[in-house]
Amino acid sequence: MVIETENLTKLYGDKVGCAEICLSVAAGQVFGFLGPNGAGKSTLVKMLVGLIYPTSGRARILGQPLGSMEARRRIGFLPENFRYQDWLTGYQLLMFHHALYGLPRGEAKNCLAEVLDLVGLTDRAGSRVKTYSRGMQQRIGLACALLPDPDLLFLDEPTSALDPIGRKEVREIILSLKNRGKTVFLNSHLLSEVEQVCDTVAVINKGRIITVRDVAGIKSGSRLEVVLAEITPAVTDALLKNGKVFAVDGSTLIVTLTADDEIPHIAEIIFNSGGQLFRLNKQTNSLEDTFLQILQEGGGPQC
Amino acid sequence: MLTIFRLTMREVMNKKIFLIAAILSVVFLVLFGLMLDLTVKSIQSTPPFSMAKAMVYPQLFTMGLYFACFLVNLFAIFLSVGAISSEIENGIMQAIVPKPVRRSGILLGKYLGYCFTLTVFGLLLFSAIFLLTKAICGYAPDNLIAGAGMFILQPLILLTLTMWGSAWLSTMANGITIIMLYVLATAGGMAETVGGFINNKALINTGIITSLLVPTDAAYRKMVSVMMESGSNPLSALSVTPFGTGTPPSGLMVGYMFVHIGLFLLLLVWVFRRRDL
Repeated sequence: MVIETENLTKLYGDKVGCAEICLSVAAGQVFGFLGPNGAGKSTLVKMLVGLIYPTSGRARILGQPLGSMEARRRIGFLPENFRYQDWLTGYQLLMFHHALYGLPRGEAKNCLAEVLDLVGLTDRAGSRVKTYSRGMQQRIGLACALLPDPDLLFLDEPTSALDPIGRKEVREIILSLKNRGKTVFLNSHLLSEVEQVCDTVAVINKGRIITVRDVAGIKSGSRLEVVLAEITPAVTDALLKNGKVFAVDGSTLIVTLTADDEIPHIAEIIFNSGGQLFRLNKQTNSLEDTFLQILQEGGGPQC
Repeated sequence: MLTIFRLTMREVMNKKIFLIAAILSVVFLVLFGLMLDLTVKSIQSTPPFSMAKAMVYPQLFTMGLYFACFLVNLFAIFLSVGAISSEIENGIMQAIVPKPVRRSGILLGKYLGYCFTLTVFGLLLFSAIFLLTKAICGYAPDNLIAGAGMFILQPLILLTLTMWGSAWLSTMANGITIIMLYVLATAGGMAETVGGFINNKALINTGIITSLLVPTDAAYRKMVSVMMESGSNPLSALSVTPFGTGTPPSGLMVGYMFVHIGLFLLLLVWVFRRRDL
């Protein structure tokens, strides 16, 4: 496992930052970390990269204990609220971070050229960071994080300031890293983005992880929207009797589907129980639907 | 540590405060030189010339050093007041700390960068005061090297204290605290000088306590006393001006100044290593 945490907890006095976090992130995947604002996403990332100290619990990164220098050499990190020395040029900033990683000076030129090309800032490398737009600053931040060719990359809201083209480019970088066997820990509240690049997602709320799920599994699920003249107890009883899982939304029933051949069967149940069927509409589950559903349902402890 | 040291040096050169301090120091030196020149011309026309010289020139020299100390000390405070706090507040530290460098290495790199800058700046200012006095008045004090050492010690004491404050206070709170402590130390030093002349134990003890808290004024008084040691300025000892020395601080107090720097440097590292960012 690239990341392993066991009951990792951070308390700020009485306030919970993160509580009893148990996570296992396997190598070579893009791991999405989701949660509403203030849920504790950044607290966990900050603990994992050594910015804040856990109150209790344990964690290992790349097989090393938290804060280990060996692990830090193999980690890239793009913080959420960051600013760089804006009086430096992009190139000078990268040279500084290259030196901080203790990478060989002889390789600096090639290494910098490579990351600048990757984030599309080669032409602006000689300009001072203070002249960069917010999106360009995010790109140079990403370039800094990519300098050591990290085995594990932490990205905290990496596309928050980027335009759609920039977002697409960052997604491509993430996927290319994944293809090279690297692990990416993506902290984001942009669900569509997480859906496109992540293999697994964990959802955190009020400092606790409430679920860890496979993205492909979430996306493979679907539901049937059934619009009726009236939702009568006879219809709902019949559906329950046949083992169907559903929710009621006004005059619409939302029935969870496990397979497409259930659709005619559901229609038959409704018809036989006296329901007046107006419309049937099959919809594929999105991460957003699942995310909202998970937050509504809450979840159990993960350890 | 070396990487942070180099970056700190570049940062200082890039800061407007450095340019402003350099320009104002030149203005100060021009004014000081002008004052020396006018005084020399005035004294030369007033008998008895040699007695006036013995009284006035050392006073002018110590006055020049007093204001030079004031400049370099304020520069030390403003240079380092947000060294850590402002970098945490604006997110720069968050990009540095996760790198494979120790927190103590980050601090020491910054600290040594500021130390080097202040030492060079202080020595230039000290040398300029000395050279102007020597060239215009023909007056040269004793123990230049020891005096320069005491001159440099003052901004280094304040630098260490300010950086320690910056590790746990906000930039604004730290600035206000350190400036007040510096004023307190200066006032305490004057109280000790006055207490020495009127032989008042309470005043002397007040001065000693403030010197233990922030020994900048003690370093200033030690500097003046070592440079006026061999009786080249027999009349200056009678002075109770802010530029006078009164009872010079002991060698033990000089030792304490180094302990003070070492102690606050250790506290700085200790606080920052434990701090959540």
